[in-house]
Amino acid sequence: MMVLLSFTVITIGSKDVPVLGSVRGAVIDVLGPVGRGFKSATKPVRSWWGGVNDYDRIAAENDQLRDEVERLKAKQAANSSAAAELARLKELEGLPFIADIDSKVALISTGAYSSFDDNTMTIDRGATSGFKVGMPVVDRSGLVGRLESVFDDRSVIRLITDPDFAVYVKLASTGSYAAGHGTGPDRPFLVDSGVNLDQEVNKGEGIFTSGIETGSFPRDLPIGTVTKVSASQSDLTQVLEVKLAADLERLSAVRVLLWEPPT
Amino acid sequence: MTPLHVAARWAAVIVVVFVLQVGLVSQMRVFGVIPDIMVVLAVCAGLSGGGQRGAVVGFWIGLMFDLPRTEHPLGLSALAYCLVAFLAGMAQVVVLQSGRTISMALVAGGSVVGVLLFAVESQFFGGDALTNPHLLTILGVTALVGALLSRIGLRVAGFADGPETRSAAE
Repeated sequence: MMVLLSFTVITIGSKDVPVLGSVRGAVIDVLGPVGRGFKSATKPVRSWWGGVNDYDRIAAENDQLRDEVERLKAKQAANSSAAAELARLKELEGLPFIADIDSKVALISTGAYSSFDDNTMTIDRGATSGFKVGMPVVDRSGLVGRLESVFDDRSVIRLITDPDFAVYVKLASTGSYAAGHGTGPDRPFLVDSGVNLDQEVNKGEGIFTSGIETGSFPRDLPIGTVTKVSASQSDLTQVLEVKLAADLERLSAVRVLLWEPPT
Repeated sequence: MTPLHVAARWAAVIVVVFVLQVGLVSQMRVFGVIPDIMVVLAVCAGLSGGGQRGAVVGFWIGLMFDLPRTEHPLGLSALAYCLVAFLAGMAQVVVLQSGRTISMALVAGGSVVGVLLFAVESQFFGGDALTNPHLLTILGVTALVGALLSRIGLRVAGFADGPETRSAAE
């Protein structure tokens, strides 16, 4: 009987019944403060645990960061002129990425509850802040995902790493369009449709949202950079592995663009 | 204890463990994996209270866990935990007749089965849990956590079930 009941719940749940959505929304609204409370109360324990569990990685990361700081210091002077040039280019091209798209900052309130929930995150603002399903979410480096569910004071982000997260992209050098999708946490974003074999693509090439009319995002939101180029199994197109610009491992705040796809 | 008392105790236990899972445990990864103490509780419910009660309690544990996880259809954990708690209940006799090591192994194994069931269901409903590249690590950590928490889990389940049904495994 309980198995039958479970299947009934699954069936009803998959129909997007508003009541169930409200119940889930209420639970998420309640759990936000609970999660934050636990987070601050257990910070010393978690820091200790993080150190114990991840010592080697943290030590390596510290070394890497020191090198990075030195490298950045050396580049600072050169960058100032490059930044000025970039600003001029942006001014000339009027890139929509820096255009006046209204946006609001939201804090990550809860992450995954189990190891199978790595493709979503919850933020601490919702419909009362003007958020709507489908709005793009970015961090300072690039696209993070889109709002999948919006409740009164919470929203759930579908992360760009989700295999079901598909997006039309644009290659920086040629401006040609292609399609890409996530492949799961800790895996590269794949652009595997629309890049012909005769098209030259190099490692380090920037990938941006296309902004085409049927797309779900405004133009030129950074997605990442190409790290590997290979031929598809059918040998008809190229497959690009892309390292995401956004650092999803260390997200603490995001910016939700109050932008809706044209209907 | 009346059935109402048992239900009230189980409700309290489920809520407390649920809050611990989403508030505390979900923020403490082991080898990059979030331990699942809800499935451990479901298995312990089956081992302590038998198949029928285990199935009912497992269903509610799973349903509670499903509520905030909007990434999956509601009811996936409810089905998985209901089934695994029922299966664990079938092994109740073994637990009654054996020592701590066996019950520890049963909780660990049952937890792994529960997580695996969830992964299979998720795949059927369009998710990617079964093809998760870290699935083996997840199962390993689940077994470890199940084994480590088996004693306390069985004690908690025994408390909720009341003295009449309390198993010798505690």
